Amino acid sequence: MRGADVVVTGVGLLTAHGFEPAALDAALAEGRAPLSPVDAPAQDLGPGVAARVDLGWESLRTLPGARPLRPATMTRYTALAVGATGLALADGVVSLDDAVLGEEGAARRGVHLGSYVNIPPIDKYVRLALALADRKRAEEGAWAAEYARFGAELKRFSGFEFLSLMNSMPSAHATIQGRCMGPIQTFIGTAAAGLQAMGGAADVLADGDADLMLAGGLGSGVNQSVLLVRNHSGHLAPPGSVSGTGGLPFDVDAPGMVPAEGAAVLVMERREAALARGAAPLARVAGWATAWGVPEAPRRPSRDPSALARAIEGAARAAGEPRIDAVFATGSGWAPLDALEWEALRQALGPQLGGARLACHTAATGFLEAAHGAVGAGLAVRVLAGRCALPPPPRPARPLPRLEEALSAAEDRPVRHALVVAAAPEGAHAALVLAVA
Amino acid sequence: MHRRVVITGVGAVSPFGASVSGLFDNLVAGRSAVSRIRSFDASTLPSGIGAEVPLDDVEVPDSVGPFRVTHRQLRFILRSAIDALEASGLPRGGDPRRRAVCVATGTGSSALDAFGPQALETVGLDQDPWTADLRPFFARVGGAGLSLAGEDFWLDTAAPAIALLAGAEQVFNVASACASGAHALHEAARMVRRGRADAVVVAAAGSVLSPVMVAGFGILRVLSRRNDAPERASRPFDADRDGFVVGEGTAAAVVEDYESARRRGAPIFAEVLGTGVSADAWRLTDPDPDGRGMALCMERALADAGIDAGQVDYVNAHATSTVQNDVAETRALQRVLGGRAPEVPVSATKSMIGHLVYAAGLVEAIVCGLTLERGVIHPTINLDRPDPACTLDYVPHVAREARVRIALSNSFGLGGQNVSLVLGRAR
Repeated sequence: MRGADVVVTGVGLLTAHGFEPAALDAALAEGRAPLSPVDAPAQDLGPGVAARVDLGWESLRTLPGARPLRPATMTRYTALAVGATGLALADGVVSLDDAVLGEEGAARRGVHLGSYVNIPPIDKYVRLALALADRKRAEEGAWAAEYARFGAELKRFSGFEFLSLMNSMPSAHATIQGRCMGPIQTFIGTAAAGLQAMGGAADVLADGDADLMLAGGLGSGVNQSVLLVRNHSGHLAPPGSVSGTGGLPFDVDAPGMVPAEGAAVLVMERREAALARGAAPLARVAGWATAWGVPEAPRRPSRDPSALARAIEGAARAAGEPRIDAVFATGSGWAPLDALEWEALRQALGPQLGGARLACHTAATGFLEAAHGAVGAGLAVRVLAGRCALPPPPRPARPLPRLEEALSAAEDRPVRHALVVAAAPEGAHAALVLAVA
Repeated sequence: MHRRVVITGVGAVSPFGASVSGLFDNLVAGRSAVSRIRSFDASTLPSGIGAEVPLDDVEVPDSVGPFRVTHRQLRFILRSAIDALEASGLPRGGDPRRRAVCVATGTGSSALDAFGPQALETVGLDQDPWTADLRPFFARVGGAGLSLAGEDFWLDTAAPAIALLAGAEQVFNVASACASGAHALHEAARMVRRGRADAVVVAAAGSVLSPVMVAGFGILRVLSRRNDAPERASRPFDADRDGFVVGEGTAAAVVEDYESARRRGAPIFAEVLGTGVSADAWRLTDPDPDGRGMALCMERALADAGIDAGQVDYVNAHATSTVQNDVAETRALQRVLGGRAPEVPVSATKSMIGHLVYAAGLVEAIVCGLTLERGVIHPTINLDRPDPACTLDYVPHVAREARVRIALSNSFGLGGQNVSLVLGRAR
């Protein structure tokens, strides 16, 4: 990174394994995810099960800074953001005392989150479309709305529902929660958005526009709209194809993505600011890059891995071309995307990945949409800080070509530099290099 | 030494049509584009007025690479981007790694038009819609049998299509509610200044002028209910204002490193001297009444530009015409401009074209650029009886000729997401 030294001082990880990192560590070691049925009426989409977060207001309100927020203003996405932000604030021991912080201190804090849509379940709008249907036109087989009847249906809605449609509401909640009056941004997108948010936050810190940033991503593949899109695009595992796992990354026979919910937020700071407040750096942000490759069709990536390879190379270059010791891969569990990612890794790091060890959290978490790369980054920080062991490599029954050789060539060396990769079916990719603090 | 950042081309599809020049001419003339909503029957909604784009369609390709360009907003934003690229003369074939696209999107429209036909086909009208079993809808729509419901929620398809047109390999979508357009321009300027890109195409779309959103904002009581006098409904800083008016539109701008733009002989529309971003960290539904977050972002933008408040010649205010926003912004401007506050002309584009929400900040930045170029400040219309708490020079009713060298443009998003831009005359 050009400019200031940017470090991570807190990690908030929220997955189907709850608030406790130890539970996620255990699940990573075993490659298992707790799956539960998808709610009606979307239960026929994809595998019909998902790795969901048990997330009620009663648990959220116990987290730092959450109490002033109102459940009525929250979607599932917002709740995920609040959860991970609270965990990060607690882990980073970030003061929320207005008397200590003051307006000037708050102005030096910001929020960058990656997210996708923020819409609540759409079944209500489907019902509204039916309720407003012009019956005469319907008899002719055509749908048209009689919007003149809309006024009578408004009693079924509250204003907050519409407010919550704004995609940036999770970030807005996080600014209130974290007493952040500094730079705010929401990066919209799928798997790469969380890493774009973290990279952007590192740039903000390097530019000197803030001392502390809460940065990360949140995602819900369980949202009805996302389920529709993923299922329609052929990304999801079919019914009955998965049991006890969040996916089979890098497996030729992988059935597809397993929808999941999650969020990760990092406390990122300028090193001198972190040290001044007595915070212990857990890792250093060394570099990041993003690249988009023209997809073959919307939501179907090109077979050409060069765009993703350029994102990886760009991040490594920005980090000063270090030897990468561990790769936290996306490993979505959807074979075409995993094949692309694998080829990009080989192209960027060499056929044996330079002896780096490969890690992937998908089997334990499912596919986390905009949180997927962010959760990888959170895990990488924990490994670099010595808080947990490197998760075991993926265990495909039928590995992608030449994967086994690379896994065999991996060297059991200390992890000093970790590469986090976020690959998305939409073609927008990102990579982040983290280093020991 | 910072890289200088300039805008070399702009485009907009607004309630005054698909011409940037036409937009500015109408603003200077003080015309309102607000009328009863024509695109759907809004007669039973609390607010049934808006500033719609008076075009059924614009000339754009029906597909770009693998992307179909069918959605109204997508066609408009693409037209804006094509106009901006043509105006800038940005050559095709540059290094794609040095180019980026940053698109401001919000949620799409209600998607009722997308859901309706499919719901009718799969569920029918024999059951009570509010208790009907929707499982067949989800099963069919989620399969390959029907076109995808709610596709217009997914405005992230705009950025890839524009990236193909611009030959860009970095793609970003950003959102910050009503500040999104300005926020995208901020992000682009920072990318260029940091050296992450030499040229960034910024674009913004995502109207809330749809049945569901007009109804929703109506319930929230943030929209004007002056349904009997639409052209007089948007009245920022007026004592009788009663909410904002929804508008429709898209905008785009090509943001470049000054040196590379100069080398290729590009026209310079305006210089982005500085940008500032802040959050209110206050409430989701209301701005901080003292405008502290608003003032902070203006101060940051001025500091970023390396100028003091005394050098600001014109302010294009966020000025939504809501009771709370206009007072908070006035207080923030008083705090930032200090003793000069009563002298600096401040005008409200939204008084004539309503609130374009996600695109508003980018359209208003373009308006600032034209103000710098033409030396005329458009008025704030409908300011008949100024709110006693709003005491600045809001250029009421009539445009004013002025030598404007530096303009400040404010955008403040719901949830307390603030962006200020400082633009300078092309040189």
